[in-house]
Amino acid sequence: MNQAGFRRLDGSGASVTMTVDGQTVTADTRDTVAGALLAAGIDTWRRNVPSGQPRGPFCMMGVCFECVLTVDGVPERRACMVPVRDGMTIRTGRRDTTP
Amino acid sequence: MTGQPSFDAVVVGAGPAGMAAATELAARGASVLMVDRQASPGGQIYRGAVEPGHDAERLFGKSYMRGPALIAAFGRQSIETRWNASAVGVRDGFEVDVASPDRLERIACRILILATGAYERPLAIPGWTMPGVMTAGAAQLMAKQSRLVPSEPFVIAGAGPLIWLLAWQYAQMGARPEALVSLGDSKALRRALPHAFSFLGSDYAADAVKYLRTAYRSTPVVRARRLVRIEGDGRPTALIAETRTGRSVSIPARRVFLHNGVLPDANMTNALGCRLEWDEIRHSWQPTTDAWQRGDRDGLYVAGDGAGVDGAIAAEFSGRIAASDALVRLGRISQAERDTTAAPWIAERGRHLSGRPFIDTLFAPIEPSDDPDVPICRCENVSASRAADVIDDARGVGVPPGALVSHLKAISRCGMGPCQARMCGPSLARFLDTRYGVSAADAGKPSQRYPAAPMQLASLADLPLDGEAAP
Amino acid sequence: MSAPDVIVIGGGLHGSSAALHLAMTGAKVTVLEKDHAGRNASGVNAGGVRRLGRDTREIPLALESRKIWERISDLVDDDCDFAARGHVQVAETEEELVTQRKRVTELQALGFDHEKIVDRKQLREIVPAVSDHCVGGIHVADDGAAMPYRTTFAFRRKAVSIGVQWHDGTTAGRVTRDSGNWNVETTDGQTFAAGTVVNCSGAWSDRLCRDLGEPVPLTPVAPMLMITSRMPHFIDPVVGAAGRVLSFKQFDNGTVLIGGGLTGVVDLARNRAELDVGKLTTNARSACAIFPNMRQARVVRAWAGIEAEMPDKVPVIGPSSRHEQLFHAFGFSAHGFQLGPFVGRLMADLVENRELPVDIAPFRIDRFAGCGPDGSGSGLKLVDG
Repeated sequence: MNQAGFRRLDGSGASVTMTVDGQTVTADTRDTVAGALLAAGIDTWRRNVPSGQPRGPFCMMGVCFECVLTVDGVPERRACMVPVRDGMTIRTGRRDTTP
Repeated sequence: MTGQPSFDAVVVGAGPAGMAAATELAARGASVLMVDRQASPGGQIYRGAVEPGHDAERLFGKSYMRGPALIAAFGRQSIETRWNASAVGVRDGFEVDVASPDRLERIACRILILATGAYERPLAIPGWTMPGVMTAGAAQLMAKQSRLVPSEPFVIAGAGPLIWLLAWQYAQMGARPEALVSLGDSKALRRALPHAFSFLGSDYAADAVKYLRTAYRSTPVVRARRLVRIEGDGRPTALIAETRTGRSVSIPARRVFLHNGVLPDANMTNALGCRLEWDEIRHSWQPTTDAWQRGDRDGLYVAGDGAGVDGAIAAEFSGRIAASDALVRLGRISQAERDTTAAPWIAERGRHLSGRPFIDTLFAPIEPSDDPDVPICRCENVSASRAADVIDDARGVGVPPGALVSHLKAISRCGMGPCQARMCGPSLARFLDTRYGVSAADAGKPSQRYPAAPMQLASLADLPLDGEAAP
Repeated sequence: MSAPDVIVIGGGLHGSSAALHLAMTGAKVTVLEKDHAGRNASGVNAGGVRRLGRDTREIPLALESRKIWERISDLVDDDCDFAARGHVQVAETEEELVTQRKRVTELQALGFDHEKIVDRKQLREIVPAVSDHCVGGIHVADDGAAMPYRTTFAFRRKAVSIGVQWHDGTTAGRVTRDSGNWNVETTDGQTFAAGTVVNCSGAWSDRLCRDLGEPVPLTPVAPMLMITSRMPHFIDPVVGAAGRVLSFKQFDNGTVLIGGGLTGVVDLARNRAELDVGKLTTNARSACAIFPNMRQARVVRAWAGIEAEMPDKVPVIGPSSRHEQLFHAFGFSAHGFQLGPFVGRLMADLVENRELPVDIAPFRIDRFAGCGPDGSGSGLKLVDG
């Protein structure tokens, strides 16, 4: 993970812990999964299939579909609209290059 | 279908218009189902307003504080809700298919209010699909939702009031961009001048002065005539812009927030087969609505920015106006009561419409990039040059203008991805106009199909058929 | 511009194929298409290029057409995304497999050996992801699929490049005959005259046929399809099921197409086909029953096209029963795509009075004896042939 590209303005509210591709990621209870990943320094978690290019969240409001990942076994959830929950298991497409 | 859930009204969208409409309906005893793809109410403008925090007004402005009040009023009513859910299809009658992450429900209703809001027009420049490039709205949402601000060098670039608002909000948060790159041409102000008087009298004017003053004080403002490209390899390293005097400037940044105006999200209305009109000033497809926000189906209403981008306050009143007419249809109030109750709302909505023509004309959308490699379609990575090849081929063979968008879609997959042409549609319309002289009206509105948002096949399979018991 | 020799009414796959083949033999051809090529059934079908499961009357045409598909690039300068990875019709029960064996035996007796029975083990070699309960099936190893819109456009493009005059947005209205010439008036006030008319107007054919005194019991139908977002590759052939309406395939880009012919609702007046969402549920259940991994698939789009169905589920191909120099090819009943390349050649043969390489008597337009003047007639009586 990179140095985080986002910082939090206030000392966070309560924190939650999620597992992302097997790694532990801590988030704030206010976060969406996308926000939490960005705050943890993860800027990209899937690839565009026709081109193989890495993509990251663009609109943060559910219209661009660049932030999709698997939440607790349900695939293609838009991470920008999923509130974080303690114990959530996230799987991303970071290593997928094939459809 | 026996045992089918049934409501007087289904409201799609829990932004200001949807919340206001649902609240008015429920307050008069109508049964209401609210459906929203987010996990909580507020839409985009009032994101995070469910629990605003003590610093919300200072950071986001006084107008943001309408949000908590709206949400509280909404919460006090007896309204059934489906969060993280999308209305994926509607049939006359109405029957609305609502897809939640784990199930599909087929819901009957007499009144359908589409309050689907708006989204940002994409700004397709070289490098725009790199991780680290986001919309200005995305920046606001992260701040409102989670108090997250960039910790690396960043730049705000584009055209529209939102860039000035974001700069002001970030200034309140102590987040300073490397630059604010404002796109426009020198003739814009002259074009907008006829509308200046009504703008000056509007609420926007005072805010505008405040935002401009703060922006110019706290960040370098670059007046540009073109955004050339975003440089980087995997993440941005710099934004290259061409100033109004023709100089090339390079602004180092690890994150870029782009903005190119706001459009109604009319996909649902379109999917219903309703008429959309091309608005040349706003460069967008608008559903046709009357003074009561009625759409062109009995019992259908389109309210808020989804009917035309007029801002959050106008949206709220348009939702109330729609609800008041719907209550007449439901037989809960008389037309006379409707007229009396709605009169102040109609006046308020009118007040908040002044000032828009100036803004709409001043901040015209940015011309498309002429770089052939820029992806017009993000989902399927269809470049401008690929689109041009396919369209040249089609026109060479005689495919009529009204068939070009569907032809391009079928051959190149442009528009076939999960975003349902929200990202590529506006750029493609501009591309066809500037490059081929095919106006958006002639190219036609994009075709919209069921489902309006992706849904799980299992949810469709598990839906009870006629005669089967509901699970 | 001098008058054409042939007017083709309808610019879908069959119309554009007919136009191309006619132009290849030197005829001057004009195509009148009310929308644009591929707007209706031709452009939105599942793209199946199959011989499997066909009515025995169609098999000779399908075999000939398959040969053209093999070299489709040579014909239309476009590979149409054609790929042959096989077709399988899965049997879910022993009874279904018995019926399939019977069919394959009957086909062999007729001299057709493209369909082969596969047992449980062989089925899983071909389609590993198939559900445990499936017991076998019929396999045609080199059936395949192509992209329907791209194919239809390629035929049109090639036809135009060799001189076919093409008119989109041009709806044929009144068709009359005088002194050996056909006159086709269009709804926008033009008149086209030619010695020969070829009718390939799909679901709209019945009006023309009725006006010309040979009504047909054609039903416009709206077969539906769904497509998913990308999934990891798990299947090569196109798959159907003996006991369900299902056609199932995965494209190279990973998306999965689900169809088979369940129908929505046709709105001919608005030129729209509406989905029947209840039947989409049935289709979804079928897909998930045969491929359990599909439960997690995400549907991103569903659609329906306007197609013509004949009561005996085979098309009308051949000369008019009432008039000289009028030929028909329509009513392909949701399985005309594969036949398009060859039927176009047949139309050229018919127009030019050449001997046909296959028997088209089963497709005669006048086989619907007992049909009322408006095309109705529940007591369908087939004339010999």
